Amino acid sequence: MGKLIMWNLMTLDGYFEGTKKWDLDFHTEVWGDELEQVSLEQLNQCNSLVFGRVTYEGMAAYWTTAKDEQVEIADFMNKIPKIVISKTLTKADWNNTRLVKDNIEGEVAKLKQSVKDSYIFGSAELSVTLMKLGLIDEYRICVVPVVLGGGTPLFKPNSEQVKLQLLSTQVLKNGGIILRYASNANN
Amino acid sequence: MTAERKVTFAVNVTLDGYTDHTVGIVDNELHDFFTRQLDDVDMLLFGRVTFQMMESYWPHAESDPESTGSEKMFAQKFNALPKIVFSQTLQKTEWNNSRIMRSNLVEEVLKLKKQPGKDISAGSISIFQELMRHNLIDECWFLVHPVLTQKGKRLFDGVANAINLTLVDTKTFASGVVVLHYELKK
Repeated sequence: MGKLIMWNLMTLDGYFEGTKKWDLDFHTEVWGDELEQVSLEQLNQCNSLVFGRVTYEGMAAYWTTAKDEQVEIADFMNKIPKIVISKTLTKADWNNTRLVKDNIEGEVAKLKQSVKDSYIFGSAELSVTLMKLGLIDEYRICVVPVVLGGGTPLFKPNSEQVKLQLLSTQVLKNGGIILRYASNANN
Repeated sequence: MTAERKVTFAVNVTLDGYTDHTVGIVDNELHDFFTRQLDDVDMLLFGRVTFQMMESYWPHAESDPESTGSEKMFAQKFNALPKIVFSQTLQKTEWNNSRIMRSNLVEEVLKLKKQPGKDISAGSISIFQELMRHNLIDECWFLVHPVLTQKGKRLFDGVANAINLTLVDTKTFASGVVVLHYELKK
């Protein structure tokens, strides 16, 4: 059965973006050959990417116009099956994207019938919903050696306590570390 | 010029950055880690709340038959080390080798750094945050516990300045706690 995996870069103080929307400058601290390799491996093994509206819109705008050294990942991102979960969005034009408005549990259950895993990036609001429903099987967080001093927290308050099981750690040469955890529901 | 003393901090934190000390996995491996940390320290700095919490527990833990060997080892070292509690209101302390200071934390740390000795260690999160705001922490260990608590106090509350760090090394405990050891870039 495929898993639903949260994959994010997070600063030491717990932010996934700076104080402005899409301020991801801190990614440059850890981005490089190793992280690119990790990303490509994940995308190669991926069934679908799952997004909330805000992340979907930003990613669609970014990857449909990316050039040069990012062309390989952009090609993947544009081709890969994607799901955007939003009650307000009326259409989803990014190539190979399906818009889901309700029955999140049923949609995620369908994804998990695949042998391949699906990934959710960014999408902090949607992540809260999925966490509350107990639908995230694995948390894969790259901790970036930076304190930003402000921004949007990756994990929003008011959710249930979630016990995790450490699966592995991977230290990157530039000081990032990828922590992988299984959520207890799936143990 | 001789090198100044370092200011260090080691703390338990959840993956989502909270410091609720009731949710972590406290075992002998964790106690042994904190005991070893104290080898490099000869001054501990506290705020009042943490100080009083520690003062009510560790002096007894040293001889408590319920304590594990690891807890006793930690208690012995912890109780013996010199401690300062920064408070405007505290009247007295009964914890061994401790004294109350009314003076400004930052000024005091700048003075202590110039004196000979081993590392100075923040013992409270409030002390850590104040020293982070003044860029006075040199080295830290975050013991990341495998849990998302999603509530409580955040480790970096009130730290609004950007800081770059260098990952020195990491360690994984059997419990799934991952120790992230960083030096702060100045």
